Amino acid sequence: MEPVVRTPVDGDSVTRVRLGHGANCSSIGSVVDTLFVTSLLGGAIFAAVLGALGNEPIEIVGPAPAKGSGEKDAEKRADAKDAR
Amino acid sequence: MRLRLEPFGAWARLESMPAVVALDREGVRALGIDGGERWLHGAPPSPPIEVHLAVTQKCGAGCEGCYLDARPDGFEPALEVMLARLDVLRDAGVMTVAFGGGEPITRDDLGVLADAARARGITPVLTTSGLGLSPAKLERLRSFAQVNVSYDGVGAAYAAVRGFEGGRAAETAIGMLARAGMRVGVNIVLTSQTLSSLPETLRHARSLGASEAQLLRYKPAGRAATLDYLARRLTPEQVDAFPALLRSLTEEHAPSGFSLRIDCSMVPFLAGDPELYSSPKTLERAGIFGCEGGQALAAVKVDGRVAPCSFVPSTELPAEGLVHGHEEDPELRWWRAYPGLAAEPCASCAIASVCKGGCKAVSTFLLGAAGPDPECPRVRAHRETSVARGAA
Repeated sequence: MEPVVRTPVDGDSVTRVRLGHGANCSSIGSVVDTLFVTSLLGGAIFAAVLGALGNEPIEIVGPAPAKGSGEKDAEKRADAKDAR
Repeated sequence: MRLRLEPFGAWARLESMPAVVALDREGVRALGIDGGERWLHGAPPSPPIEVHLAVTQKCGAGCEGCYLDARPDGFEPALEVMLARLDVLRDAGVMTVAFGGGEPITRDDLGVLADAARARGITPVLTTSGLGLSPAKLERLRSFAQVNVSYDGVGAAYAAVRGFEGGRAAETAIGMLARAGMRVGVNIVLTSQTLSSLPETLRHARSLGASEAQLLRYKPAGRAATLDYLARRLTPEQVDAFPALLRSLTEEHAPSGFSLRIDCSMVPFLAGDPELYSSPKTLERAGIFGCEGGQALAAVKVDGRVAPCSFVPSTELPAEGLVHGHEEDPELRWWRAYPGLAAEPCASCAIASVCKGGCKAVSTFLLGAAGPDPECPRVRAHRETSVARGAA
């Protein structure tokens, strides 16, 4: 199994940033701060996101495909854990 | 981070900061991961990333506009039933579970459920009225990443929305939670009668220790699905002025770290703001979610059925079938398909990819079937133009 190589995530690859925990139980909410605040603050948030993407260990979650490459998927999960 | 592969790339929930981000495929590859079958043409749609889980139908508050029609003797699923539902959410790769009700803090095992969500890798959050929050009950809330208290306004504004004087209890709860070191937000339902008090309500909530406010549109569901809705909903003038109000409130509060949220049903109101309307990519990048029913959002009601959101009737899909049934359920499929089938003026709307047609709970109540949100400023203008043409 080849080791997984991580490279810095390009800012353009981050297509959405949903901030906060979202603690309402009835309708999905979106923080609007970054729509209106200064670009300086928005840039700082974005830089923090990119930093987290580059440093945090990765755990892949979610349903396995209903059919197909279960073994390959398992390998990928193992690879991702190796990357920690 | 917890990464869930998607047809577009992946959703990633970060651990070092409270954020969920979408990455395109290149971004995922940069993390050393390939999407495999999830990236093949025709891969099935993904389960939701956020689920609203009703843990009880019991509530003694008796709010006039309760969307659930919760009652003191409401149904409450057993602990093992709720744990099984959390198992399903884990298997689906759900990232956030918002516990609601009814009044969730009536459950003595609420802390157990929050711990169980954490153990399954899901971030638990909670909404409560705050009524009856004792120090002992507060201790059961420690595992929640955030607790939101329903707080519709200072003074008379609270009673104007809820129909009883519960504002003081909500304020007490906000203060207790904040002093206990817990992250606390407030949910504020906006009506035509209370919108003017919003600036004062926000300042007061912040002074009590809240760090976030979620603004909610009043919706005609449950006990609020009456003609009274027409008198309580925001007026067209208030809707038109809402983006400017939101901008000024954000400028006032964001620099000090107090965040403002709008709910999915308020996204159509942004269409009335020329700057935001011309910047759909900015809205997308800021993570603004419009109607995500059938997509990023689902609700699991107390009877165990999945619904596109908390405000609309359940589908036939049981929670146990969420992982793959989310793809196959005909009603959820319809909700997913709706944005692409929407009539004018949604079809030509610049922010349609974010808004996704507005609130279907509202349009279904007002029109008898889902359609362009009648309270959206753009839809309203389109209708007025059509009427004028017809008259000519």
